[in-house]
Amino acid sequence: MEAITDRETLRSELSRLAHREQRVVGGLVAILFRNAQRVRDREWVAQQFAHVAQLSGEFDTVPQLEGYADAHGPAVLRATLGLFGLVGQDMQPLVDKGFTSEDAMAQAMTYFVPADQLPNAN
Amino acid sequence: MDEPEQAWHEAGHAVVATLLGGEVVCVTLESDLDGHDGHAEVHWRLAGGELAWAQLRVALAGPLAELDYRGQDVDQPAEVLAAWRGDWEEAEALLAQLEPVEARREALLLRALTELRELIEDPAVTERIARVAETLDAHGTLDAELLAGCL
Repeated sequence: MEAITDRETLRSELSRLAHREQRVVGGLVAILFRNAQRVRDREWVAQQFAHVAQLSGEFDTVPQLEGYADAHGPAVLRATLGLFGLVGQDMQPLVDKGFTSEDAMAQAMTYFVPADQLPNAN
Repeated sequence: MDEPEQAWHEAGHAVVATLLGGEVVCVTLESDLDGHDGHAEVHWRLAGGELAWAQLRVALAGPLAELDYRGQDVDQPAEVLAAWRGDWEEAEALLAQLEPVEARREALLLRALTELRELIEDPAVTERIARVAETLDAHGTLDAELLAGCL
């Protein structure tokens, strides 16, 4: 999976996701911020995705959930990991001062706003 | 989280805890617990696996009730699931306690959510959650007596 490393691509990919997938990205990235040491454990991240996805929608069976994961997992995980990485960069200047996972989450939420609707947009 | 959504969230915890045999001694929108905007304090007479199974469903009931209230179309969908990370951590810990084999946790979570959705979608239960949420939104905190008056 190719990582998202620039902000415009991230905003664009997040805006293309359906509301349900945006919810999963939001839930998943919140978990990653609180468990940053596990973000490289792809199996754990995939498991968290499956769990968060279950709450976001109504699945009656494990095969249904697996079908959803096959269809949407790659895009959601790519956006989530891109968001985690870029928010991490954004928060770098605050490392000395210290910041919380809530601060990081607030920054993450700004990426769900289309670029042309940002406060400083022309 | 906005107050009405948060009230539905906490009401979901409180009503489901009551239905599963817990004694809710307090539910509040004014919690200072880390990662929580609100809090429901429940006393249980269960133990071991039975207790963990009940607590798992109560932990998940808040987010589900909130989602039920919000519906599918919200302005900031990403904020919805992000707001319940405290509940999620509790649910994850309980899942791990109930099912040591990680690969089997998905099925267990699915069972818990299916049971919960059936419960919450019962019109009588939805009405109870709505009553508790409305009163909680007005008062900020409900003790056992005030809660009993809503149920």
